Amino acid sequence: MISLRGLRVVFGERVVLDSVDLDLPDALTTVILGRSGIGKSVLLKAVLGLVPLVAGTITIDGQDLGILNSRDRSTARTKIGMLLQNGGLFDSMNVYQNIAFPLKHHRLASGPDLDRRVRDQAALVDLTDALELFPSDLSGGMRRRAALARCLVQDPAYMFYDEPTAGLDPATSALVEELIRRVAVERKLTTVVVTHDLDLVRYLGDRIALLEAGIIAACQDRALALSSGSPIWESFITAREKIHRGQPL
Amino acid sequence: MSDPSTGAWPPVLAVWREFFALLWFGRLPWGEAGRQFVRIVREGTGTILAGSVVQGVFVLWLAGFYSNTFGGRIWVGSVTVLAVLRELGVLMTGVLFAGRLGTAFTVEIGSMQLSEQVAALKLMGVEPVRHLGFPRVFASLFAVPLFTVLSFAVAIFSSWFLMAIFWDLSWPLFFQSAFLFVGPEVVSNALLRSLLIGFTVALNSVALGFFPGTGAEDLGRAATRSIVVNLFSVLLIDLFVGMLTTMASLRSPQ
Repeated sequence: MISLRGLRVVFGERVVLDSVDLDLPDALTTVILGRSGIGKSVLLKAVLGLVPLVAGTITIDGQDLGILNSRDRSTARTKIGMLLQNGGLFDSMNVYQNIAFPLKHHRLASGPDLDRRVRDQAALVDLTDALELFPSDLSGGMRRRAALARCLVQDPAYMFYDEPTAGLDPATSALVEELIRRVAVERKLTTVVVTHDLDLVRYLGDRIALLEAGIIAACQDRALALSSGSPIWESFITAREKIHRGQPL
Repeated sequence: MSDPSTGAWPPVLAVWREFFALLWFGRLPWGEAGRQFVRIVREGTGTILAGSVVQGVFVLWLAGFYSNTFGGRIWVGSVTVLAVLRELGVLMTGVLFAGRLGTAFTVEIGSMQLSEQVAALKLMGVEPVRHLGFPRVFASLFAVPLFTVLSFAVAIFSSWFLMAIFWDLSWPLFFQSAFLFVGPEVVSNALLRSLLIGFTVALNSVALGFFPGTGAEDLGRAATRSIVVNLFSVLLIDLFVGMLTTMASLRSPQ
């Protein structure tokens, strides 16, 4: 389980995260909702050490990252895989080399074992025929699937997704959603998805957390949250209809 | 992703610190450094050759024209070689290296930063400074002295060649006095400066590539900073190392 307590991130004068408290229980999918620019991606990146924290504690499987040295902290964080918004594929490498990179770099596999593991992951994300292609030759959906394969080849216990369906057409979005769900279920991964896409919430989320004004304004089971009628959820869920009707939010 | 509010310099200094801290443990990526060396030589040789020919023309104009006009043809070889070895060769190579490859390092790493490739490295537990910085810096440490020697040869030869065409200066007349005043200290001084320039320009360029920003404008700013900072670094290293080694040689007993 990952526990976040009092996370605070500040960019200059701007407080992006004020005091975020959130628990991410094992083997469940938590969807973090919030409007664009509210700090959802920053929250994931703060957990992974890509953004500096001003205050707060992060505990992964009972281990407080704050009291570890930088090498141990980095090792603890390798339990988490993250699918970045742009995929972050290395454009000088083809899909095969991208997937193989972490295994080769950390000398976790070589020869036939490496080849088998790379091909297994490629098959999982249905990219067996695209292994020789370079990122510039791939569509948006294929890039994300290739990046997901590269994350999964390291066997993470936790998987974070940053806007996994942003910019994809409905059919490709559905494929990516299905893949996320399948991976989460088959591997019993603790999954966190950051999005503002309500379809993704309905399909994937076991729990929903709403990030607003730098804090987690609410966090509940999906069914409860969507049927509660609570103004906190309603303000987000019905925002589009209200804007179209010209009503105040 | 860095905190975009911190400005350019703290992250640059942080990369310098991290570079020296990482040197003491972990694997050094010599294989990748070799690949970068080949790439630097392949991409930089044309620019260095062209710049060295231009350098030869400068020296032709300064040394050849005045020596020929005022009757000092016998010393034209010495003046040319000293001008190239003491000053122009290292300076010109440093400037060309900074412009051609230093900026390329910054933009390469900067675009990796923008497309989240640097973040992906961190997520995989790979230190970006070790993976992206070390190979470029180590390769430059070898490449810049090599370019400097190449530049010496091309500048001196092209200078003589043009003097031979314009003023009918023969090979023996040029080269009989050419290395008269060139001691080992001149060559070692030039190589020391080229090593320092290679290291500093490469590390500055890499560090500026890890800029704290999120868009094309930030990348453009980083590239501009890279060329400006590196040009000043080249000039300052050339000036101070030249001064220090000259003072040291004057003080040492002959």
